[in-house]
Amino acid sequence: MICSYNNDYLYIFELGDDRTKLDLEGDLADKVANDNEELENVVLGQGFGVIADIKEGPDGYLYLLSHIHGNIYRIVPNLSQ
Amino acid sequence: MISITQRIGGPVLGGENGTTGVLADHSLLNKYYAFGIRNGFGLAFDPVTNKLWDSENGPGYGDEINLVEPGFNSGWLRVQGWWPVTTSNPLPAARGYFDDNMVTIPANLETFADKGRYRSPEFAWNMSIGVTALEFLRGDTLGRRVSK
Repeated sequence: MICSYNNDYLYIFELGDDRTKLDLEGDLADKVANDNEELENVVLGQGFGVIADIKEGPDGYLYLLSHIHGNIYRIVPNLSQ
Repeated sequence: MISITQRIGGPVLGGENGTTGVLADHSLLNKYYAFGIRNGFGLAFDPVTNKLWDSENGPGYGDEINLVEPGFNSGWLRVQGWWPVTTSNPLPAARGYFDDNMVTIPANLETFADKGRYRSPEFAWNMSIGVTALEFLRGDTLGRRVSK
């Protein structure tokens, strides 16, 4: 699951086996983020401003609609790695 | 939230002629799917289970990600995140919940004759950051980890 926040981060959470809970580890296992440091392992991206909407496209890429920047961002894999 | 049907877990509307709604068998309560929601922003169906998830913004604390089952009570304004709402004007001067009180089963919640069910968030931020959109990824175009 992808979710986005107006603190400028885009987060990704994996789902547990039955998909009724998030698969959370370490400091997040208590289902609480007490500060931004605890969230470091679930950051997928940063710098998109307030993300008003997110869609996975038919091409499998991720499309982000930025309220602040007035842009639509397309997230693609880094094929150089 | 208006009443909608999910395939997994059976239809929301039951009874003879499908006239029994989520919270009662009469209007308007039979049209509600969930309640107690504060400043909802994100809404997405899990493409595998067809279950609905939402995100909510708390009053400076307690931003949430929730699994939204039929009859879901998200707890506002008794509880937001894992923390109680104790004043009539709950907007705090600073972001974050600074007391030790945590709530897993809030008291004094409306249940609509036991049809509305509180469920704790699946994730919560102590210090509000402003949750917005949610999306599930079906494919693995962005990598195996991302595909879950």
